[in-house]
Amino acid sequence: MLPKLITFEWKFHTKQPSYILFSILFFVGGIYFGLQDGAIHADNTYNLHLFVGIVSLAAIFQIVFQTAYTVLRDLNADATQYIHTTAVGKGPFLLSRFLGIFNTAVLSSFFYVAGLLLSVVTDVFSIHPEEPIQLIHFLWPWLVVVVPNIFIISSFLFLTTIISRKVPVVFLVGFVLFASFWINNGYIGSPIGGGRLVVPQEMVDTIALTDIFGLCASHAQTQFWTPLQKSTKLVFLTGSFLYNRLLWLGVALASLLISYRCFSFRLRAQKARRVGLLKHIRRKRVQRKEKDGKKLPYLPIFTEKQSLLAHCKEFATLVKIDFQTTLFSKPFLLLALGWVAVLCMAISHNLNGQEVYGNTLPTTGLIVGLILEPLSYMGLFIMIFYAGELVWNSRGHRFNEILDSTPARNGLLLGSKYAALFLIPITLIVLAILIGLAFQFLSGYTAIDVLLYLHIFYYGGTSLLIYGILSVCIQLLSSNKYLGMLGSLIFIYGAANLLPLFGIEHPLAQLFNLPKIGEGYSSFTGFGSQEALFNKFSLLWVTVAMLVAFGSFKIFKRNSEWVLKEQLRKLVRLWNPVQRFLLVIFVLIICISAGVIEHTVRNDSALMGQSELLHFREVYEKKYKPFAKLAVPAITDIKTKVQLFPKSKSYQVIGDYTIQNITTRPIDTILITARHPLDSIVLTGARIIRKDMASIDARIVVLSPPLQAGESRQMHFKTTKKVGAFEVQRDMAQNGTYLRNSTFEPRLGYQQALEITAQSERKKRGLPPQEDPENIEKTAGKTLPKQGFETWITTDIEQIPIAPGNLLDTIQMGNRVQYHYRSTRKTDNNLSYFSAAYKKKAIQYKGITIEAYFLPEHGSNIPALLNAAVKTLEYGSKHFGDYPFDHLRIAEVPSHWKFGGHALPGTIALQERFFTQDNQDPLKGINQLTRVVIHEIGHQWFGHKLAPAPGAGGNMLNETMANYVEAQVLERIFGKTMVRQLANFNRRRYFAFRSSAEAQEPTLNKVTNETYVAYRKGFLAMQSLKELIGEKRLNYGLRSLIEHHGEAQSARAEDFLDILKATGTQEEIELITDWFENRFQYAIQGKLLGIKVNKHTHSVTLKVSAKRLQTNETGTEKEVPIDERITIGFYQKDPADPSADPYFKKVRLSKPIEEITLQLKKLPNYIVLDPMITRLDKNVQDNLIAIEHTNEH
Amino acid sequence: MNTLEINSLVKEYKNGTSALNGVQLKITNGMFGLLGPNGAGKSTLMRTIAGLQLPSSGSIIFNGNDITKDPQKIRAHLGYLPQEFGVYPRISAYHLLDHIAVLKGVLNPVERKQQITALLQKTNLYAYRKKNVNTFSGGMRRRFGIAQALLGNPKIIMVDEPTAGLDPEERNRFFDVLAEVSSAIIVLLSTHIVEDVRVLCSDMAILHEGRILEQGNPKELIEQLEGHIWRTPVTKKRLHNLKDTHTVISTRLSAGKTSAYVFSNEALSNDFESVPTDLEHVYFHALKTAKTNRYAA
Repeated sequence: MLPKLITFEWKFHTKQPSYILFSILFFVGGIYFGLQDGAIHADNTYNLHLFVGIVSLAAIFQIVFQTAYTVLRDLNADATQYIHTTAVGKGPFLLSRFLGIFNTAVLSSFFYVAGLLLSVVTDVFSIHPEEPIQLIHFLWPWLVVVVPNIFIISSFLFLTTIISRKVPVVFLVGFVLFASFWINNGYIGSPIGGGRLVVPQEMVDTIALTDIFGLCASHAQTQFWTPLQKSTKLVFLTGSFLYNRLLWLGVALASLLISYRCFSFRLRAQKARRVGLLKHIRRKRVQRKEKDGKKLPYLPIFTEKQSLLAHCKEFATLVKIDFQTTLFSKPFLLLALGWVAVLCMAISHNLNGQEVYGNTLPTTGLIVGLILEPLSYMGLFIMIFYAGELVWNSRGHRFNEILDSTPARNGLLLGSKYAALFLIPITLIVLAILIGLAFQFLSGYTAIDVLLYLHIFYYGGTSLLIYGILSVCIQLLSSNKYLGMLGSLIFIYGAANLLPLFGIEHPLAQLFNLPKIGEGYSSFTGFGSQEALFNKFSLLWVTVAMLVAFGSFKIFKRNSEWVLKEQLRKLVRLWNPVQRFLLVIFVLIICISAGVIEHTVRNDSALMGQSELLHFREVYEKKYKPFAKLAVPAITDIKTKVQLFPKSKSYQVIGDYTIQNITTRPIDTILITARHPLDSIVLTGARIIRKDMASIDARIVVLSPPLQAGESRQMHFKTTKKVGAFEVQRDMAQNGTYLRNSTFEPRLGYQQALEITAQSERKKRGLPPQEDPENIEKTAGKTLPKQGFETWITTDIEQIPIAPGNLLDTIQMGNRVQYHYRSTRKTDNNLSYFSAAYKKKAIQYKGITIEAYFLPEHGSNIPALLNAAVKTLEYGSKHFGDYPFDHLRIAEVPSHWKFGGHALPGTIALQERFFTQDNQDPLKGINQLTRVVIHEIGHQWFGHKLAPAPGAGGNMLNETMANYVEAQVLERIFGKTMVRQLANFNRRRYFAFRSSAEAQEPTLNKVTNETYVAYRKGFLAMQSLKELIGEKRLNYGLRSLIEHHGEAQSARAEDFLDILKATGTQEEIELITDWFENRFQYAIQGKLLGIKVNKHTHSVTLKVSAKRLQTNETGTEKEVPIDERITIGFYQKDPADPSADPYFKKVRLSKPIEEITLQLKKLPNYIVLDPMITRLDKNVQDNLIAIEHTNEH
Repeated sequence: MNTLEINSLVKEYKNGTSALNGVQLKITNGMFGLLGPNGAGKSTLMRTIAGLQLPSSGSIIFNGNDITKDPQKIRAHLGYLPQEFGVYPRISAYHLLDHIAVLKGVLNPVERKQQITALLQKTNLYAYRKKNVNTFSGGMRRRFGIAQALLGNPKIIMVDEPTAGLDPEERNRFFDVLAEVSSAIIVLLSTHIVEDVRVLCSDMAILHEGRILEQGNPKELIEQLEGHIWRTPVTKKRLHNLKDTHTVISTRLSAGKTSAYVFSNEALSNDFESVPTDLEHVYFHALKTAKTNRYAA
């Protein structure tokens, strides 16, 4: 019988519209991903693993639909009694139903893999490598990830259905499974989530097990793999990945067993409500008394149908009943609990940054941002789901014939659906606000902004309003609730993405899509630069949605038949005058708002679609690449007049630059490129021979007479810019301008940064493989001079304009104010102009004025900020020479800047988030405020006073050294524990980023833009170096470097290494070479062999395993002999305890495995090998030995 | 006086099924029985009158208004008990009646409460008024359906197979209620149980395959057949032969023996016994005649 049942189920499922639709979607989805340049890397095994595995998430939705249909189909069709009384046994019955779901879902997922494979093999856009495709790379992840996942998901949903027998609960559990992946993923920041967070290994291990889908476990296994390994190795069924699969398959099997136990062919008895004894007695008494009540005769009653009161009462009772049947239900309760849990996790996770990120104050802006984000993606599903539930509410409960035969008007029946539907997000938002308030009150945070909370209704609710209206309309046209839900999902997603997919990139082509508000809330810019645009699009799409709603009232089906033709007939006929009038009004608003947007687009010269941008870059490269070989003059002096108009988000810059030929040959031709067209540009003795203003301002000028070697000339330019409404830019803000010179400045020479970088896109456009930027710089190969700088910066009077340099004077002109700055020292060309309604606090430190500029409400961390500044100035002046300026300005910039801080000469931009960090317990985690302040001040020596020459290795002198300063000053302020934490953070980040890096890993002395080398590896290398030669010698070397290269941008990494090597021993020279000029990793491990108690000492014997691994640029490891000294730390307290006061000893390791016996006066509780984490070691957990005092012999 | 006129009503489903084939009826105040076998089109006719389905052609005029064009004209005065219906979960009987009463325009809370209480008492549900309706048994739920149909001030009540699932006591109670209200309004009762029509209705129609076969006062219809119905005991073999020679309208089993009922305008032999005509004979005769006519056509 079982085979027949399975065959029947197979036939049943494969005929379902949902199955057919999902299979098509998966196949098309596979083809689509395969055609996406940069998404699929067919030559990268791990990339394929992720892309194949991700279909598990989409499979949830298919399984939800199929489970709801299959398991409950007897119940829904009232067929339970005769199906459940057939001869079929419980086992075959359930197994066939389960296999029906599982088999078809597996087949659908295979269509996705087939689609992916097809598009990769056919490679119509020539975006994939030419190497032969290995089928196993596609099939393996499908076998070990997707198929087990489908089994697991099907089992859970099957159990859910058997127990609850409610479709909404199945949907909800499906959603929870879906959300659980993203929560897990977000916690560890695995590549799919894109977070790349640095979290403790324990959390990675935990999440690897708790992730139902095994993708986080794949990440745990591969997190430190090299790019080469990721390209060639399959994710093994070992370790945490194997445990994950076994664990969840086991749980799935258990779920099936429980399903078997719980299922019964017997009809389920109604649950008796439990009542207390007293209540029971009281109820009985009342019932007896009220058994028949006072006899009343039945009399017809006058009814009132036309009055407003009647309509209001009808509406109220309809809303109440819909609300009651959907919201006061277990599924909604579960949804609300899930919502609360998601928010609590998100808020607490953000407030408590744990070991790495430090605590954050629960500002209303932060919480509102955290609410808006999940609301946007959860909201879509919620609206689609409940639109279906509400539209089909009376039909679902077979109450429709009674309801529809009442005289209630269509408008009220449908209107009440809308009202009940919109009450759902309102309830969720209110709940979210209450949670936010609870967090704020519990944290003792009192600066609560109620108005800002109310913004959630607008910025979060508008999209949901639109989604709700569309979903209701689609449900009204649909013959089936679930088909309607699927149709809504496809329509809403398709409306926003279909036209752009075909290259129509006009903002209006993203139908029903509102601009994304909320890169988080900023106290400077509110919800971002696109607030005004949001309003325009809201008006447009809400009006269109209202029109759809209007049409919905026309097509509302009250009869029990589904007649699409009849509905459409109603839509075009039977319009009364009022309806016609409303129609005209709606159409007018739509036309006007679309017209306004279209006008804005036309006027927005900066607006460029992706294909336009790529075309422009292609043309630029093809036209101007030959100019890359020409020598370029250097800028030696800068004078600017900057007029900022924050209210209109516009500026005007007049620049007078001095350029100099620093080469040995005359320069007769220069290519000048400005990203924004210039109003004018004049270069003494120059003639423009070609001007290309199509998308960018590119001009070729011929110098007559040529610019001779060493000769200087003046370049004068003027540029004016008003930021377009659609333009995504960060520089200009109504409050919080941070205008970088690279935004407006004309650049001399060919700009390689404008080239297309994606190799496949280059191939498609007939461009040769991109040259290594290094080569171009080598051809330039010059030491660059520093520049003088002077500016007059003008802004509105309520704001303070800031720029690098000494403030010479301020002038007030009506409602404008001008500040005049001039730098007393020459700087590099790294300049920005600030303007905001700042509050200022200044202190003096040894003749240096330290000024903090911040928003008035962000003053709580200023003392800590100033303290960090003083401590850094103290350390820097003592060890690296005088601080180069008489001032140090630290100014707050809006949170839309992705950097933590940015160092300009004597002036630092510090991102807003550090001003809202919770600094009450400065020792909790890494104190990021202090760390970033130290780092940026460190750049005043390493970056400005010492400016590296352009080219490879420059970032080692900039960022590695600023990180070194971080470590030293942090240790002085907060102690060794924080530096250990910071080193661990850098260690993990190095391995994680190296793992996902596409380029080969350069050595530290040749680093260019590889942050994981310059910042992360550099930090550890400098700490190793400090241990090797001592802080004093190291600092002396740095000071010497600065003194030799203070006048020009001339320092190279080799210069620094040469200084060190000049005074080093042979061993030191070899290690410095290894760490800075080669790639080395370590695998250090310690084990306690025994403790012997002597008279006054303890003799502790350790087995230390220390491997030294040399890696090449792709990460291939080769073990090499070790012979170096490492530090051992002895702790009484946990090494993570800020009050731990360890003492260190150095031991020489010259064999891969050694037994070391240490004589200790006092027995520690912990012994840690390499306690300050100075070596790149993938696993530092095995460096820590906890001593149990019972180990003493 | 309320009137409901159904003129040439045709309803064809998308799959080609012809549910109503030119139904022609005129109904006034009082109990009107719509008698027909399963699948005759009774429910389709009721749903169409209630505006829940659109007719393919024809018209339905209620008190002078064509309700196929504006169903609100009848809904404002309609009490409808469908053949099958469910209820919302977690809503008590009282609250669900209250909800429907408001939708029917009973706005005065005191009056509404009184009417709901009266109906709960009449349908013997008063003691269970606070219980959720979805926990009711089949019979209780049907009584609840009757109560909701009577809410407000209906001028026409349509009850589709109302006595299914009711025990005899409840059935009588229900008939009493209908009889009580039917003097001033139209009560359209659809059933396949001849006894229900006989007991209750002053007027009736027999519907079969979407056509009205007979219409009139039950007594008059019975009188038309008086003296034409004959009974004879039969075996299976004899019944087979009898069908070839006579118009057998029905068979009936009594004490394990089968009797055949034969329609004849002429007196039959001694094997046949003339029996008094009842409504069931009228019903079966109409069905038989329709079948014969169809074959003849």
